[in-house]
Amino acid sequence: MDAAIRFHGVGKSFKKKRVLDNISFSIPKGEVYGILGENGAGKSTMLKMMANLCLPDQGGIEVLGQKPSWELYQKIAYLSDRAKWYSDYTVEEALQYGKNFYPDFQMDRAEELVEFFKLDRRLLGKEMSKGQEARLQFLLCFSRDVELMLLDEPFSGIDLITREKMIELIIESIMERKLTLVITTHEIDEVEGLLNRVSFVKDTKIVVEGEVEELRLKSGSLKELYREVYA
Amino acid sequence: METRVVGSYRFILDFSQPIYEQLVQQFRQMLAKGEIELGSKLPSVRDFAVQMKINPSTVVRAYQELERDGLCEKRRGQGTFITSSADQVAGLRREMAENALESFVEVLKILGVTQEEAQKMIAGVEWK
Repeated sequence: MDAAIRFHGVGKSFKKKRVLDNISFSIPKGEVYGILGENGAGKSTMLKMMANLCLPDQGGIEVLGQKPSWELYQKIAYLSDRAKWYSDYTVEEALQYGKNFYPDFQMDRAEELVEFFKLDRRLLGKEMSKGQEARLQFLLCFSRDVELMLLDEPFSGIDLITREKMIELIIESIMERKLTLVITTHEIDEVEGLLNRVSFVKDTKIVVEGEVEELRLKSGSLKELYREVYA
Repeated sequence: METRVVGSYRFILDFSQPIYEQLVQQFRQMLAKGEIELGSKLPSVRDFAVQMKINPSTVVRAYQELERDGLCEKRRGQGTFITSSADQVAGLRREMAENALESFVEVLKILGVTQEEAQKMIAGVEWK
């Protein structure tokens, strides 16, 4: 398997609290991979490790065949709700920022996505609704020409129309180019039909991992499996 | 169960079963029932995936399976088309009916129903 991501025996603690314990798995290139679990299960930490924003205490990680590094980080689009650098920027300025900051930023794509998401170019970051913020974040992420995208809880608290547009953009993007997408979420409905593979994280460990269509045969829907794992 | 509409097609999705199999099965049923016009163009993989909110690879897999069974064909640069062979569809309809009959007979055999009894039962069914 040609892997975009590999974890070998990864462990991590914050202060004395164990967050991840002996995690090993791979994400094949070109797939939409879901990391599912409750809040605080360690999903975001796994994603941060892929983005080189957090280092494991034990074990190792390979991203696109390399050890995580700053150079590698620039080749990855990472979306997190916590990174709100655009508060004092208008949409227009945020696009310029994207263009200046990322060598792979596609301005013509970004222009198309402003229309697609029906965003007002003069709108200021801090005056945006949650849905508008999500649209801007998605726009910035999907305007980049990268092989790997990491989306941390992209649908959390977002209105239905925006969620539908996000899903549409994800599907179009994986049609257009070879892209590996890793999505952490605890909202199954949105991703049930979208994921190729999935892992369920619980109490510092991966408790279920596999191809979604095969899991359906064995255990039913992801939602049913989710209830089984976390109830 | 969720109903999702793509163009003139209506699919029922059950996420507790493999999705590509459901797509294949529902296409086969629509074809056998004569609900799909022969030679008509199937939705593009992109449109299908976006409207169904499913991974495009699932659509590709379903189309490939239909193609392997001779129920549709891919034309370079034009898309995927339903077969224009009425014989092919008649064959499919017969095959589906035979499969249904086979499982029906299996159940009756398990229940100890004889062929004669079964024929009487069928003759007595209101066929509407």
